[in-house]
Amino acid sequence: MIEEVEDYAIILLDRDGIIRNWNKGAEKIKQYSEREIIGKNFSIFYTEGDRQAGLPEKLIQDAIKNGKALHEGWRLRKDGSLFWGSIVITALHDEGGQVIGFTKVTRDLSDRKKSEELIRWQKQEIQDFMDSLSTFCAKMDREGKFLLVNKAAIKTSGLTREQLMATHFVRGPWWANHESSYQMARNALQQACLGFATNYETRALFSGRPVTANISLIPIKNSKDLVEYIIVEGRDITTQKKAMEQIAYMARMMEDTCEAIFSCDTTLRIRSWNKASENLYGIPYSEAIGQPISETVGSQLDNDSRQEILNQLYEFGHWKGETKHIKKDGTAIHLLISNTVTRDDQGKIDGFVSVVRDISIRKSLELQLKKANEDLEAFTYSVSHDLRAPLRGIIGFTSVLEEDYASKLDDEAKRIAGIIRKNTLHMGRLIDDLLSFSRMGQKEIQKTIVDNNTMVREIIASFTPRGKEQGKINWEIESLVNIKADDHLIRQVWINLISNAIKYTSKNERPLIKIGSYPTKDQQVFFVKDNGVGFDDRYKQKLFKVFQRLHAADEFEGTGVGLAIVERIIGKHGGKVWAEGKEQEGACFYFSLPF
Amino acid sequence: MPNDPNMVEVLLVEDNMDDAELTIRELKKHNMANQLYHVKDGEEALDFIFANRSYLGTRKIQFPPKLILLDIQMPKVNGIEVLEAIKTDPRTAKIPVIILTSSNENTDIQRCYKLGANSYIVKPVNFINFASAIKNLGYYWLLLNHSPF
Repeated sequence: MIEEVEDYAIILLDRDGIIRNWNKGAEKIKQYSEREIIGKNFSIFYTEGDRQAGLPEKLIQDAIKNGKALHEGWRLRKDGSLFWGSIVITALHDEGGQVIGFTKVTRDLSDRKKSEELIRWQKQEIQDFMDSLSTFCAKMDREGKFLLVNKAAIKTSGLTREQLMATHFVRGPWWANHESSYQMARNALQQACLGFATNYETRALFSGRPVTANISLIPIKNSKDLVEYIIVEGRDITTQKKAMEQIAYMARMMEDTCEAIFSCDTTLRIRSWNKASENLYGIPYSEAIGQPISETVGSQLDNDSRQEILNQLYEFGHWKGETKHIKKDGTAIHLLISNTVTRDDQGKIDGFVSVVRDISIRKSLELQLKKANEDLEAFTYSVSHDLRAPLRGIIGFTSVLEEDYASKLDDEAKRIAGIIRKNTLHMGRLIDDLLSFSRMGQKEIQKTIVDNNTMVREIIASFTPRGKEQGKINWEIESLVNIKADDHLIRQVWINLISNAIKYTSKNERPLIKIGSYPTKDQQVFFVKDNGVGFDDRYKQKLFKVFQRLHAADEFEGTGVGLAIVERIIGKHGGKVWAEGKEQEGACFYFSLPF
Repeated sequence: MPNDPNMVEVLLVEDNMDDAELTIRELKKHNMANQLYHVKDGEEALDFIFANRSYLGTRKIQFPPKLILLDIQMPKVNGIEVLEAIKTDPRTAKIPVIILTSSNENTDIQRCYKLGANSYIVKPVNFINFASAIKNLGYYWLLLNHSPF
């Protein structure tokens, strides 16, 4: 009967492992016929490796010792192919208990082995796949106990695989003792058990580092729609989070700034429109976005000018200028606008961004100022004409009196007539000086290279006619550098300073006037120094104020406007004026001009 | 004052009576005011020159003055408008016009010359200078200069 069994190879071995009996099953599994195999050692079925390792002998010994030996392993067929065999070797004893031989039952488990291998391989594939992920990835049961973890999870947790496998998801060290993080983990697990996938952000500790983590729990259901297990994924999103925060911050900045900022694509349709733009134009975001920019902002440019700006943008990348737009309510606004191109990842121009500032108030102030200046001009014009005419009358008729009635006027009357004329003339000079001071404020400076050496010599020559006082004043004139300034106005400065020096040294026996210049860090300083009557240093602030005089009119003539004009001219050039002096010891007047 | 408005040599256009008196006195002193006619504003000046309104019938435009002394700041029609009217009308464009004014505004000076003024004189406040200015311009324009008429 045994001979007929086909599913099992049943072999009888003697004490030495020599095959003594062979059944049909053995022939089917191992391919040897009974005639071929009887008398051979059973080690013939074992692989070369197993034979060298002494496996057949060991199995025999085990069977002798324990009565039985079990083993599974690869075995050889006659044709050299392998099969997975499961064997049981059982010792046979005689009545005296002596081993007389063995039965060996072999079963071909190749098919079973194959499916086991497949499962094992699939399991390994899942593990490999999970390990290939750089994020914390694990499979856990409904209680939150890990069933499978990946390498990143081990690394992230800072535990060994065994420690991690023994850790509960909700109580893991990665929550860094944050109560809120525990709570969120608990909730997420509850939700997952109810069949809901969750995804949330939380504070966590990954590889010992505090991070912002994104945690996903995905419940996996079985065929009965019950949650069988849960996949958890934890991702460090600190960098992304910071980048997102930075982007959000920049967006907020754009929104919160009081400068209107908007942009358009290359077809000139609006792509962004911040809050300040909404306020400035009175147009909400929803109405602006996607609309043609020129119409939306009420541009007043014609096509040619618009094309010109676009050309500039494509060529230079930016355009700045003043422009006029019309708000939604129809009011015009003056704007300072700065346009810049925007570029895509490839560096290709994909639109334009505009920053505009409402300068309507400044514009209106400028207009007011212009109007005020015009008024002032009209006023000074009227002053120059209307105030001078009566003076001419006073002097004229006083002179007529002196001429036509000379015989009837005594000396006192003539002296008084002289006083009238003198005062009226002085008033005329005051008016003239005041006018020139006022006009100075309106004059625009036109800079050229000023030849100071020539200019100063010309002025000195004009003040000292040949032969007369030329010998009296001792001039010390250094070489003066040329500067970029308004020729006409700088001449006025030299005239005023040099004439002052001449005037205030006129009572000196040996007048000395020194003119020179020296550079400082960013300015060139010029000075006119004299040894005249000087001034009280305490009052030097008053020197440059209009109509302020530090000397009595009968001592030195003057209107008190000359230095005020000097200050105004130098101020207009961006320079400074100052003076040093001591009573009866002379004065030095300085002015500086930027290079 | 000449009896015949067609015989006028000098037309003085001046709204300030004191200035006018001093000017006339100076010209008289040098015997140059015999045929001088004084009008007190720009409107009357235009009427006189173009023989309109009150001068209609008594004056003929064909007999222009040899010289016009013209102030700028005047009520109603100012000197610049008068100048423009004279110089843009071919019948009067050749009359020498001397601007005699208090204004030393550069814009006024430029404008007057552009419109064809023959001289521009700023009236000095000081009488000595004023007197000599009037005397010199009288000599030059009435005696030295050759009139187109």
